[in-house]
Amino acid sequence: MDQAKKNKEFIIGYINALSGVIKSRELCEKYIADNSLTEHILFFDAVFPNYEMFIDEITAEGNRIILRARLKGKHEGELNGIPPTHKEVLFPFVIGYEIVNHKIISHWLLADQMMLMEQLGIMKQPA
Amino acid sequence: MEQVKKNKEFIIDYFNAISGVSKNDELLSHYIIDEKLKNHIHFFESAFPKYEMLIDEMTAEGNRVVVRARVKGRHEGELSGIPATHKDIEIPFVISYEIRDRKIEDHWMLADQIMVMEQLGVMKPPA
Repeated sequence: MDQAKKNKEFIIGYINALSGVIKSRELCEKYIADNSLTEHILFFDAVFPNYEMFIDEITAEGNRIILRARLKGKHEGELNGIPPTHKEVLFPFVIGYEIVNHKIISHWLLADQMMLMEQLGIMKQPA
Repeated sequence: MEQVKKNKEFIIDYFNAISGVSKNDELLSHYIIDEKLKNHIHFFESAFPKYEMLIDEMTAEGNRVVVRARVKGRHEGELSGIPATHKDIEIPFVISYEIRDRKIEDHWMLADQIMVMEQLGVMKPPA
């Protein structure tokens, strides 16, 4: 139980540290020992510089944390061939972390990419 | 802790009961009092009859169980204006349940809708 509480505090600290600022590799690696997650964050921060994250719900069990959150940013960099639209986006995502000794050692991620594309004006909402 | 274990077992029973069979209201009412979730299942069942659900990971805390899973089905009914393609899909999703007295009373879910569209051949994968 205590471990789950510590892990929650760690994740809240981590999200607060990264939200709304430039996400350098050095900053990421203070919290992350999963290189694929660091690469994902650096990629996304290049597309949506200084993007913000808002926590909606945290569920913890053992070494694992599930975070339901929203990402807010402005599209200022190329995204999979889509040039910057300078549009604001706000979309939900869910991420699962495994935490050992105050480091994220693995993760999975699911985001509503359809909502992202709609907000960028690339795709129309379904009728 | 005991409650968490019971809730996980309940969710495993629920998945086993509705995966791969017709999901009628009587069956769903055995497990669910959240009308929005029932409506969502009816909608999806009409597009992907007898779809299967496979659990990949469960994280539980208090009344909540978060499940990372995959849905497998064949597109045999209209889906948001897309006529049946008879194609097989398999997509990851995350769903969270609030459980009280062996009933699901609330939920949220997130799925990659773009992956659905790609697998139906309605949309091309990003370059």
